[in-house]
Amino acid sequence: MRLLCDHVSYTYTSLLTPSRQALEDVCLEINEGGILAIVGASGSGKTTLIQHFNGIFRPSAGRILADGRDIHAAGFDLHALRRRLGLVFQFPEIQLFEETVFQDVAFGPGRLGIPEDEIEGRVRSALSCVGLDFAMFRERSPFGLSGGERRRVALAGVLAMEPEVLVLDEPTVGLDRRASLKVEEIIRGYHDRGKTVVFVSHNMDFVARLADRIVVMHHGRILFDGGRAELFRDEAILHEAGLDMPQVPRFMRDFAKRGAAVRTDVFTVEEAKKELDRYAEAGKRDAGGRR
Amino acid sequence: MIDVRSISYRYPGEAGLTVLRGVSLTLRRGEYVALMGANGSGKTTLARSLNGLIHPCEGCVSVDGMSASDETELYEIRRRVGMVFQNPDTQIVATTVEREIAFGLENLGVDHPEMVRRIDAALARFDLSEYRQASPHLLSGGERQRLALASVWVMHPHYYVLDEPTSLLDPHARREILGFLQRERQAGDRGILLITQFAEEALGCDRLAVMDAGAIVLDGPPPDVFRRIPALHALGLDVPVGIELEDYLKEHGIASFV
Repeated sequence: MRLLCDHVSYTYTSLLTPSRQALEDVCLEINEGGILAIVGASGSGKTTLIQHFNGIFRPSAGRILADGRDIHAAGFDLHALRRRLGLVFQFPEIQLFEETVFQDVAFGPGRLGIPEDEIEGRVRSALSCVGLDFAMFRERSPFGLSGGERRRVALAGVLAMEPEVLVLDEPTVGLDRRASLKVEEIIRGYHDRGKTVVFVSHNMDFVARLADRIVVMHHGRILFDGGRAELFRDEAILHEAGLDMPQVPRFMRDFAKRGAAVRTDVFTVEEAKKELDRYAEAGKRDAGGRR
Repeated sequence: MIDVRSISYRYPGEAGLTVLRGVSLTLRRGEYVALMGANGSGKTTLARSLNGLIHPCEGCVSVDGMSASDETELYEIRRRVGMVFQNPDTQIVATTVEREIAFGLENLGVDHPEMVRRIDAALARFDLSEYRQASPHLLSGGERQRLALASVWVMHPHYYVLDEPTSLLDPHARREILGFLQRERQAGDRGILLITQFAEEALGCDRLAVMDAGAIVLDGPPPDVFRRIPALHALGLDVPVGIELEDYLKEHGIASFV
């Protein structure tokens, strides 16, 4: 599915507080495949933007198009859209409410009208995606699980609907490292099945490892939209948006400043080690040549 | 000094889970200590024992010589040990920013001119002056966390105990909180215990203690503790990328000028 935000603006209005423009003339095209991260300071409009994707919010101006069709036009089937685009909110585990893990994961597919005999297969496959053993977890109460496991059950509930586009709001917030790595693996795995993933995060290390494209939001506008290598080279934009340089490219940049000819567009520790090896090898060859 | 001596804690009830097993830890005034550990390792339980929110089943906790199990000392202990939690909404109670900061002072019986002086100072220091009469729920997450800190700072605590205070914040708000802690540290007479999942935050501390399964398994200067990379990874903890890669350079004899 192709999703297009066409000059979208949104203003929050409330009787109690002055109205506030949360999005201003946002144009964004999301094509099939790929992992897109949306970053920016709190209040920059990230969450408001992704809640436009499936029609929770209606733009004050502009349109949201799914495969070329305005999702708020008369006759557009929003339910069908929500079947194809799954949205995982912040702290999704607080919405778990069923007695067993099975019932909770089965809830979404059930509401979509998936036939009863297909549901078990969906639940089984979704739990396997999030790394929870079906037999071991199906009858357990979600409330007896650890925080990381609860988050994975909530994720499985959305994966069981097998959306073409998976949209997640701060999927690792509040998790420890082990649980975060698990979530990272789940996102990568879902993408590898040919799906589109969009996520919002404050954690630049996580963003840099995972996303091939990054959108930076700032005061309701898109400040940057491009590849990670391009963004993390641009210290002025990072500074303006109040974002941190991820640790891996920061290390490589500092190492390069010490006079080493290394690439700085590497984003995982493993890639960095490979690049350092390559650099050391090249150095040895040079030294050999001079001898 | 906060002195934790081989404390153990079990949740009440027959099936009560043991969450602390013989933990000892000291925090001196002027010292900035980080505490890391996977979820469920006992960090929060340990933090809650430091100002008597929970009482250990064995062992003892003392604060400047007062026992945290002595109910008559609890009031003074809680003034001296200021707590800040991950989610500021769990500790904000008042209807305006100013009243929130005044809340603890009113209970302390500070006289009016002094109260006004301290509140003004707190509003200025935490950059909240423009929100004086605002309702806390209209503030951003980062502003609410600054308010939680301001409400503790205004009590002139001897120690800050902060339980993952930055984990819900954006990078900018995170830097503000960490910057405040560094300034408090430079003031020299406050002790700080910072519980964190972010290895980089621990780098700026004097000491790093690591918990696993209810016990402290490593405790030392952060650069030394972080050198134990395989051990930390096995405990489910992060190592700052800079340290891991510097180590790799050394181990493989790679220098910046070959």
